[in-house]
Amino acid sequence: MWTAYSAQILLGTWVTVKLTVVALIAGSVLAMILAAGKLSTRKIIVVICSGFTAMIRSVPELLVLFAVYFGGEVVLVKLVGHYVNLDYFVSGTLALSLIFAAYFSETLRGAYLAIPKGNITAAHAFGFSAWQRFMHVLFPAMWRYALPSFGNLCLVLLKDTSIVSLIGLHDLARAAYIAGSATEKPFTFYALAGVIYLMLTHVIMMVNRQINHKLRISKC
Amino acid sequence: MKLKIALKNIITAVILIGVGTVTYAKPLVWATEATYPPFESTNAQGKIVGMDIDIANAICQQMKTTCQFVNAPWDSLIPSLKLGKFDIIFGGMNITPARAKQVSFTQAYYTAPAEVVAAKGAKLSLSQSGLKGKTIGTQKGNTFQFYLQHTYGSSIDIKTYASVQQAFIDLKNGRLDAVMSDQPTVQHWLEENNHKQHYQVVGNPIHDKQYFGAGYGIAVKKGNTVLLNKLNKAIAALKQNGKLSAIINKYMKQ
Amino acid sequence: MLTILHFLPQMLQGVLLTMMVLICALALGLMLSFLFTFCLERQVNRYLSYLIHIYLFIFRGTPTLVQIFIIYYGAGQISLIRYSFLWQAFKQPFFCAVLALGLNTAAYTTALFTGAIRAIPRGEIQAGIALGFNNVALYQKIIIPRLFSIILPAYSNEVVMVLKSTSLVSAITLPELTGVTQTIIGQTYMTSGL
Repeated sequence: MWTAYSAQILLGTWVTVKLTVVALIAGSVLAMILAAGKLSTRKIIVVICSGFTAMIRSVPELLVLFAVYFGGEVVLVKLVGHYVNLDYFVSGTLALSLIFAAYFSETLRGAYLAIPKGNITAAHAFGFSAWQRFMHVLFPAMWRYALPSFGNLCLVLLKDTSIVSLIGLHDLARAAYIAGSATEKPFTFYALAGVIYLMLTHVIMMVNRQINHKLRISKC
Repeated sequence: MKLKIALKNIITAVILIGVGTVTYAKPLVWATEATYPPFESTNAQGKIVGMDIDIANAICQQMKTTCQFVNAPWDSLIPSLKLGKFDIIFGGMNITPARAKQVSFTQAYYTAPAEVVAAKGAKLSLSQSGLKGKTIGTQKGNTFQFYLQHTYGSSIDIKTYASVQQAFIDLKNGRLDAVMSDQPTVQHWLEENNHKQHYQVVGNPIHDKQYFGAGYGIAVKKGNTVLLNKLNKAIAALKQNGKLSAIINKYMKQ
Repeated sequence: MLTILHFLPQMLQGVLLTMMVLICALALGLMLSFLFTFCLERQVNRYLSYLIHIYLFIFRGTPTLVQIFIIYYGAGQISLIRYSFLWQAFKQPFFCAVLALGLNTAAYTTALFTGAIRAIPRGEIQAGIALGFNNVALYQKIIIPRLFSIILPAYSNEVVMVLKSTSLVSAITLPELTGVTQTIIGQTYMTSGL
């Protein structure tokens, strides 16, 4: 019984890892766009981006997922005119990226505001282009401020991936659920899944600690 | 200015990646909820197996098309079919008037009544007074849930589960007084792990045309008559050549 | 629109249940986190501290959904729970939901408390001692007010987190708001608008 379902559990673990990584990348990109929007000088863009962030942050993650899964295709059909199939993985990552982006964009905004204004003025005075300003002044400074919170959000994201099992994506939580139902040994398989989640979060925490440690050294 | 261009590039890239992973289904996509033995269940290798799968494969062979099976939550099947996520939904799905308003059903390929299962010696019977105050479990979004709600109303406590297997676990755990499901599912569970030593069917099998008893059908999106006709033809052919009853006999002990 | 009005009473009941779960889980979480923080800070017992650290590690490192499932479905597999008086409690999905969410929030809140205690400026406590405050006055006048002002913003965040987690308990047959909505969708096959 143990060995019979272990391959499924491993496969589920792989899906969980993939979900986390893809949502992390897509969510970070989206977060940068959102943060830029919230810092924009145009009122309308600020309102849209802030409203979007506030909405996602105030609704349960499960509801965001259901909205993307059931509602996303309805919206797409209306937009494109014909049916577009978003598979489970795409809806799952999309929902998780939106959630991650909403939280991370706030961190980025805070990080930007924490940069001494003089640094930016100095860059202007040196005649830096927007790209140079971003690469040489903004990014290195923001990175420091944003990193601790980024690590925490990664942990939250990894744990949030478990909700995609409720729309039928075959992740670690769903693999445990199927194996537990079929064998009528739910404790065994949920405990196994729990241990795997613990190992994954532990890896993220260790990487996080390493990077934070290095940052602290380079700061001195 | 350059930042804006960079942003634009990033957005385009994201959209392209998004569109790239959107899959356009070539083979017929059949969706079911695969924790429902003996109709369909997921085996230890992660494959969906069961009577319905064998029947679907036989139908596909008859239609000379390739088929792909997808496992999705039961209560999401009809909304997703209506959207077009799958071509076909199937799997122990009773033809009911309420569902027939939403989707188009093929002719029935199998018929079975519903059964209520409880612990031996439990004091309950299939009547308003016999079930009063009892807790009954069933699958979420299933026709049994609506049958129980409309027949017994608030005199019973109905608990719904994503899978009927979870309801069976809770019956064993003593959280439920009884579980309602299809006869084959109930019988399969009673045989498994010798559950029949402690549990039994309450009263007689239930036939009710409004909810179940019109038989199990395969559903397609309303208006997809081409596919519906093909499926009906294939089912008729399988009924004729005896393949359908051979598959059913393999799984169901009469 | 009409159908939404038709289902409104059901949805309100769902909201009520959501609030009940939330309040009970928060109360349990606060009580436990006070207890755990006290044990950790006062170093009551070394082994107890180890146990609390393991508990914190497990509950902060695994998804809430998995915790809910383990407590609801998994408990029945452990005969110590299944065949004792404990089962009377574990039988109730409400109890399981409150226990799972309560233990979950207790873990995060304990981390908040221990962090906050360390964040109280040492000078303030030393000043209190210098002024001749006794232990009770020290806690009453300095430590506890400080603790709350440090913790409040983060704790309100935690309350929102628990509120959002309550949507997960529909998976263990509790008809809270999300569960009710799903059932209505199952009946009407309409998804938008709900």
